[in-house]
Amino acid sequence: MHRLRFLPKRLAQAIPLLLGVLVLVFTIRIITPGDPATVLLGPRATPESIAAANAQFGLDQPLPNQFFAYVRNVVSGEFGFSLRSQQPVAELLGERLTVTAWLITSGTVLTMLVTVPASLWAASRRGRVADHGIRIVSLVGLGLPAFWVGVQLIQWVAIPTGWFRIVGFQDSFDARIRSIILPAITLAVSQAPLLIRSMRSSLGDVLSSDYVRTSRALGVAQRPFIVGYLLRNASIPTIALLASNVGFLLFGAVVVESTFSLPGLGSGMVQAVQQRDFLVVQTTTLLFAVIVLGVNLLADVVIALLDPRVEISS
Amino acid sequence: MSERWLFAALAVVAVLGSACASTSADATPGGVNGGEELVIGWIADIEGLNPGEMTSNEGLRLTEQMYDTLVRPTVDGTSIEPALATDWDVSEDLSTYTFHLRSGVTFHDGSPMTSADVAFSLEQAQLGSVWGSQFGAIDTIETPDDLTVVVNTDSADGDLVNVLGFAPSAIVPNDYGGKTKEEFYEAPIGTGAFKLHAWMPGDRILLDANTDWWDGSPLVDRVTIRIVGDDNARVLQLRNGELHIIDLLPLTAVETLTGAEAVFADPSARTDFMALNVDVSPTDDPHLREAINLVVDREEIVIGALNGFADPAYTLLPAAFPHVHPIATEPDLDAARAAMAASGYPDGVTLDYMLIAGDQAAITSGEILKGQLAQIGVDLRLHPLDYGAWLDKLVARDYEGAGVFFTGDVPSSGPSMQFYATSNGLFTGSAMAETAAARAHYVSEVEDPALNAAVAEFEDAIRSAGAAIPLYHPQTAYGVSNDVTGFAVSPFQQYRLADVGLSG
Repeated sequence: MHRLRFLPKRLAQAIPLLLGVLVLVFTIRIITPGDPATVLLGPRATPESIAAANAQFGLDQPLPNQFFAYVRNVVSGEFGFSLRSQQPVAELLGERLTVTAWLITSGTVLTMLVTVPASLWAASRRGRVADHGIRIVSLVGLGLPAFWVGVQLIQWVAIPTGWFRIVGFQDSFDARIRSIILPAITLAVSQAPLLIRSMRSSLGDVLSSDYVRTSRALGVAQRPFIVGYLLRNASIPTIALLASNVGFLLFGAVVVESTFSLPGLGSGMVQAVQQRDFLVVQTTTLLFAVIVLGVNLLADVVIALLDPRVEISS
Repeated sequence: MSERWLFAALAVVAVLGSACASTSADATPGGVNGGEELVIGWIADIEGLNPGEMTSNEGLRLTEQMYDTLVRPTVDGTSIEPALATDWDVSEDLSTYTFHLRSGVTFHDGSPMTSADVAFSLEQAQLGSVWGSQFGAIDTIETPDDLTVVVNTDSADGDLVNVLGFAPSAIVPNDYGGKTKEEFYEAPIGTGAFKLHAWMPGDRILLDANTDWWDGSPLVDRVTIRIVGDDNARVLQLRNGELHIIDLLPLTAVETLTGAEAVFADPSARTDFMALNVDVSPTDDPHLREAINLVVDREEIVIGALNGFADPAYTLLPAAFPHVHPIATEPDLDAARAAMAASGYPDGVTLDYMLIAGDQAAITSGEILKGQLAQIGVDLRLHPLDYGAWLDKLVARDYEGAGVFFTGDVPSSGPSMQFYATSNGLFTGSAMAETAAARAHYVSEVEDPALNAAVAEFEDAIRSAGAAIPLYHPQTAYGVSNDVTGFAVSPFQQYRLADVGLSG
């Protein structure tokens, strides 16, 4: 396990990063026009009731006090209450996290199911029709906005067939599967092209390397060789790309969740920003930052385990 | 290999774990005991469960299903009819209202509704942070017996009974049933047609039928309200049969609906107007405001910005309100140029005009206004702002011109006249004394000719100040599946879900 000795230092480095995220989000909240109490109570509210609401939310306190109170609460696991619904933020985000986890997991699985065979096929037929075809398709895929893909899938697949649910996240397991397939496809359409291009390139490099040529000359069985050596080596840059892309994946989730009315973190974030529900916005952003850091850390661990030659600096 | 298997196993466990995780609402998927479930799509979520603090249409609509009021607007929204009060007497000086309560009405927990509950609820309504001022006329409340409530006003108020039909005066148990206000509104009860089953903020609201409702059991067993913010998604979900009713049907989708029809809240009770701040330059110039009033072509805006799905607005109060009698006027370019010449800006002026960024009709109407005002040398500079930023500036009156709207809530002009006063002349700062006098006349009268005259006095004051220029009354449409029966909506966008059934 000496290969994972970078882990403790990485975890320690995450703390100032998260603090930086908190400072950034807090600053954005301050400079964004739109007083939370005014937005919450609307144009009919009296100045007195707006002042009372601001006092209730602690927004009448000096800014440093507000910031340190928030940091203190976060450290002690208290994320406060939603201004809008008066429900605990942690509880609200917990329910939404389940939906987003489903979306991102299924979208990523689907992405890999497409990426691996397409990349292998293209790399093994470099310069031929299949290679050109896959490159063109992935180039087109890169240019398709997720919201457009989602609406087309609803219009031309969900409505004519009636097989899929396109509203909300359903309750039973089979209904959840029916709810998540089209959003997962939408997410995969926006993610797979980039990964196909990366993996195709990596596979091309690996295929032209000496050890592959030698193994082929020695007559090593192809299937275990592809899985055990070829894909293993070629997947390292793709895993790094996938990890660095997790921010875009979360942004994609915002769009996809809004298109399919999925009550996940992304759609919740959009609502919270519109409603100036600042505690929900701050905590969701913090959660996104934790996810991005966590996934990147996990990717480093996976890469270290896959390739003993890799030295990950701490 | 073992490490990779460990990762794979963890991933599978995580997905299966979340799949099996269920919310409190999972216990009864598809309705109560398999009964009929009506599914509605709303554009936005409610802001809470306290009727006194509802600011959105959605919040008010939910309140109307869960709670009752002493009186309520009729289904067509033209007048008031009995609800928890079967009848009422009004003193000759219009300052004492005696309500006789319906007997046998119970709250959702089975406890009886009495005059003490009504008195408590009206006192709470007066304290409401949003609507409290609407009930400001109430002075004292007496409860001579369990089924009689006497409401005394501090001056003559012939409009009080209309105001008591408004959702924020909803009746809740006395002293919140022994709970604190916060505890009560975690799982509130009323006497309404539906009981709250669950609220999952940002996702859905589940209501169960109150089979003991005094006005008859609702036709469906459960109502699920899903929050679908995206217009296109709401329409597609209606087409896919997953929603039975959607609110705020985009007007561009009216002609393309299949398996559903558009139902309009007709006539419109909303006015979109151009607000001009009379306390800043250049809109403090009355001649400039007069010139703008004269050059605005409302017909062009209705066609160009709303595809005809609106009525040109010639009064600030919509014609859905009683006693409002609009008189159409044509734009007069020559008179507008003459007024401009008499203003402090005979060579033209730049005017900043802020709009809500997401309101496409307002944006397009702003672009049309820009062309119209250019004819008199006014360079209208459009500033689409996020709603929060727009509201901040509007309330602080930190603007020159603004696209603003307001909607009526009860079949009376009185509350809107009062809102004009409490909002500093709908944020324009104009005609405060004149409109206050008109409202005083309105609430002290009950006969139609006098009420007509009071409304005309109010509109004349607005017109003379020229700071709130009515533009159009937009139509509001609902998409309703052909399976749905009994859905009717009033001009004030009120509907009774208890009357709605499913025929499929």
